[in-house]
Amino acid sequence: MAYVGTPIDTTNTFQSLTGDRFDGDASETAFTLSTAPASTLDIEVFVGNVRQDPNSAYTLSGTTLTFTGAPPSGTNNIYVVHQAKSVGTIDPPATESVAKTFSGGVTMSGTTTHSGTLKVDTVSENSSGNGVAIDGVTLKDNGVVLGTGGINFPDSQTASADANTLDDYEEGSWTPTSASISFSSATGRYVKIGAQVTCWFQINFPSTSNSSDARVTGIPFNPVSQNGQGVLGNINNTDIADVRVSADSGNSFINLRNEAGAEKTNANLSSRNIRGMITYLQAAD
Amino acid sequence: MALTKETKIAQIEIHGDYKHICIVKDTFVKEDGVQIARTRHRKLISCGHINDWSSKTFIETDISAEESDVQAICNTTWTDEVKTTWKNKLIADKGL
Repeated sequence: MAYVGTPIDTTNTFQSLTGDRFDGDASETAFTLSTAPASTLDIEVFVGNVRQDPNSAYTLSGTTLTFTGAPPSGTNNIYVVHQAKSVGTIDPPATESVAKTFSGGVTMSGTTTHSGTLKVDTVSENSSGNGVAIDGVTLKDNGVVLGTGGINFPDSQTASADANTLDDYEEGSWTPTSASISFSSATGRYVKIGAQVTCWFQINFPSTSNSSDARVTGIPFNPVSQNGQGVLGNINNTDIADVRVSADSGNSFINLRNEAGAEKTNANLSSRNIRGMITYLQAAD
Repeated sequence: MALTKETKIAQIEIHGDYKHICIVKDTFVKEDGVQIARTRHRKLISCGHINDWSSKTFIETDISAEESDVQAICNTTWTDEVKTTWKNKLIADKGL
């Protein structure tokens, strides 16, 4: 006869019901089931083919089925049908292309691999005092604990106008030069932290009678309006001990001056070796 | 194991009203082609200077030893107006 309605599912398979059988002896009231039901309503219990009231005829404790009265003697006269037995564990699919929402939270262990953008508003430490580690950098107690990588600023500074933002760090070398003479030798190093530039230098002036100003060009950064000042740590002649170093606004060089502010000439520094440093602010352009 | 050293221009910067040009060069040390160190060298150059304050003769900066990219930018950036502005600043700073 033809049927009406949804065809029987012949693709999927279903778990068969299971059951237990016991022999009554008119005295034993407790029997051990093969599976622990979740409640008395999850099993059907028959004694002598008479179904027992799940609300009053028996109780459950784990796999122990206890009758309120001893079933009569008989072979296999007690049987239990598990109607709501757990039949297995369903693993989540290995891949899932459908978006899901987990409103109750998700607990995972092991390594979780994520591709694409992970968007979160807050990441908090799981263990008190542990912080949150991201590829070797730990965020902990409102601070940052660095690993061995340090802080790497962009090669080209993106200047920040915020007074509390450190936007640059760079260290390197520069070569002191002169537009009017050739130094016998000259070396320089610099460190720039934010807008602050500190230059160290050593210059050997040649023997010269050149009367041009002793200006040192080739500095690594251009100075801002607040003029930079520096010191000379060593000059191999006390006659010129009053040499001062300064960097003036907008210039591409540093000046060597006396105490009164007059510029030294190359001749003044003939055959001298000077070592010094100067700190100034970089112009923001 | 092969160690190599290579220097490249990293940046050519133009700064301020006087168009000072900063040439930034990076030197890379590589072991079998893998970078193991990098150092940076900077040099700021202006369009010229004055050596003789009595004549106030402006001497343009010799850029013939610079790389062609640097020369091209200098030649484009350092217009006569820029050179004049810079020269006037140098003279003013000197108090002449």
